[in-house]
Amino acid sequence: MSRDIRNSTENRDEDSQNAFNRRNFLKSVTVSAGAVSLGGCTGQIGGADGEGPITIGTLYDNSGPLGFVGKGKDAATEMWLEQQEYELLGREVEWIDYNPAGDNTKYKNLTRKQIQQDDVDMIFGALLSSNREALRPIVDENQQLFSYNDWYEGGVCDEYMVINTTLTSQQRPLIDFMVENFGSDYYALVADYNYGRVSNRYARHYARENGAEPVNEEFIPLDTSEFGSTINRIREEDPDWILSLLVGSAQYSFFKQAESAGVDLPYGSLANIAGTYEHVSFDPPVMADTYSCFSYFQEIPTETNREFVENFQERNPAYTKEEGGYVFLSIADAWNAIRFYWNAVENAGTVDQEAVLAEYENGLEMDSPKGPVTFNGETHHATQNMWLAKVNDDHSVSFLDMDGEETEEPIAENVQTSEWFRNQCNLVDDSSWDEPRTEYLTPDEGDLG
Amino acid sequence: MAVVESILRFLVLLLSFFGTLALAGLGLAVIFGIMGIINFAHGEFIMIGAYSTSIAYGAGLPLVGAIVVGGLTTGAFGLVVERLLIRHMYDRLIDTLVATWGLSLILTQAVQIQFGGTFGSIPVPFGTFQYAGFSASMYKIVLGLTALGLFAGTYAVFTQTTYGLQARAAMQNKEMARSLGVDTGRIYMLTFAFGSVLSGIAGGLFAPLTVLTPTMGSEYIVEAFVTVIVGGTNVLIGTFGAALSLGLIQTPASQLFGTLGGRVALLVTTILIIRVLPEGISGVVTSD
Repeated sequence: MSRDIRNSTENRDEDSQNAFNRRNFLKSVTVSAGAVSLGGCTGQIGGADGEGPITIGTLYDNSGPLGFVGKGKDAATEMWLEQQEYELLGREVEWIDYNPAGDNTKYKNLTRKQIQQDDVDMIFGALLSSNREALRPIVDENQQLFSYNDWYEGGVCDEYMVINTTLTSQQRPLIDFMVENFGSDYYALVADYNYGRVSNRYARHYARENGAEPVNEEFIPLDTSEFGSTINRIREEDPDWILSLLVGSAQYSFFKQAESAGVDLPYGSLANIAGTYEHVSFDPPVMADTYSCFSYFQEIPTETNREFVENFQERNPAYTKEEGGYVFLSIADAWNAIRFYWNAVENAGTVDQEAVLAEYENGLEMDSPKGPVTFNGETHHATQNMWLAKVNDDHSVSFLDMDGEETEEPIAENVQTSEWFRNQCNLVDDSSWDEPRTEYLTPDEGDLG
Repeated sequence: MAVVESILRFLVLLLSFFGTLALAGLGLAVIFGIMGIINFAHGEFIMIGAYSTSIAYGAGLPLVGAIVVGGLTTGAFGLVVERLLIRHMYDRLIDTLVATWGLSLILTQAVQIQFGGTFGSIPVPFGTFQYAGFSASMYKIVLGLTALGLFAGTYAVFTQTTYGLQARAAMQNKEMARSLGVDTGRIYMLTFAFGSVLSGIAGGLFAPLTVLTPTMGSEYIVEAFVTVIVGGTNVLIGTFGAALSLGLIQTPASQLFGTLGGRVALLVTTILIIRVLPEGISGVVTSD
């Protein structure tokens, strides 16, 4: 996905303040280790099984359009590592942190480097599906355990990938809620690329199951920032609500232009608020009456989350409201990703990747800022609660239940991957470390029903 | 009633497309038409205009004042670029193309490093225009009218000022102008700065409607180049005619087939026009 809505100058400041922290020190050490190896070299520098340090690698963009996302994920990783005092199983943990800068070629090269040169025990990384798909063949070829933890359309069925984030199919309660509370005619605004189109397919399927139908589906090129004709068409179709799968800063112009053109319809969003916090970036009431369903929002009213947000913001002031920041979904997912790994390794008593994966597949369980999450061994995806957030007139957030009443509970609990995906992908039965399945499944029209 | 509404809908959309095309293209057209230089960093000039407008607005200036600041800042920046870069490459079309493309990459990254991924947003002013069942953003109407105003202003500059006279002379026949005592170097410098001011104003005008990012220039670059290509070398009539005719195509196409349809129609029309009129609309105007 592409979510370049927000960055902040503060991220940089904070980075330079911590110029001499451990991670940068380690980075400088590893970067000076030289250029990317061109294959072949599988030396045991890091000591995968030995008594040397445990090495984990991260590949999150620290620059480029999604630099702010990757920086947030690195900050969450660092917070966890410091809390653990860089220690796991009584061994030192070395963190090797590279910046792929949103460039798929760099993603590939740095993945190779982490596997072949740094000999890491685990990699966390990739933001967009395109990043992930670029590096996945390298991960598969080298039998490297890899955590992908940024929201996407779903569909990765890969022995070596463990995934915890919100999938489009898990956002189903939003469609049910919108149809139930606002009506069955909706107008879909869809970013015209893989994520948008696949997600829209899910949305349409769930809408139809509710007897609802899009009055129009408009596929919008990613760099579109002029929405005059779209707004006219919305008015002509007179829908009950608008489904937003708008992605990227250009397309977020829609909300401003719709507001000033006097469009007064509720937005049901599968792509906004949780990850890109338009309700913080834009002045009220541009995003008022937006409903968004994800596994995490900064505002989730649980004690665990309040504590997490407080700790995180204290360490990283750039993510406070005062600085125009927000503790967004990708941060919480990176946090859960490294904690899942910690649990898996502690259960396994080793960092041997096959043994660690076996622990993932046994079904890890933990409490988290999102609420309880479990790891589903068959699909390699996380099962988690979904929250339905409503953006109020002053851009504060309330959580609602299916009837539209305010609540402090999630709208759906223990949400798994889609039934279609569960039928397609069973990595426990159909795949093993040495005979792996490594697929990326996309439902075609009709597959879901 | 419904007929009036449909007409209004069409007109407002046309005004908005015309405004976007004309504003995006005008600065580029001035520089290309008079100097024969294609500024590949044009989108980034628009971005600089938008950012400086936002900074001025954030500092408390009213929007109009902030847009003026945006225009002047971009003009000053253009002046520096002309002195340091462009003037060494007069009459080297391909070289300036590559140099300004490099400049655009540098500017995008520099702004990314300095200001991060996005920047302070300006609320859309003037509220909503309402007529019966029809409503539109008043600002978009103002945007189209402002584009007309900028054409009038540019026309005045080129017809009423000494600079304008000399610029037209330099454009028609550089050697002759020079031998008659026109300092073409100075004219080019001023032209580049003037074109930059126009781009900066365009950026400032776009700023409330969009989200400010270092890459926002790319949202306008297609519109800008298409307008200039279709318009040809005649800065005013060409650009005006191009923006209007392309707007007249894009409006019904996007009404009927959506945003993507509008975009496709825009590009197909461009291909057809330059196939039939290699010199663009200017060719029609100047050939008879």
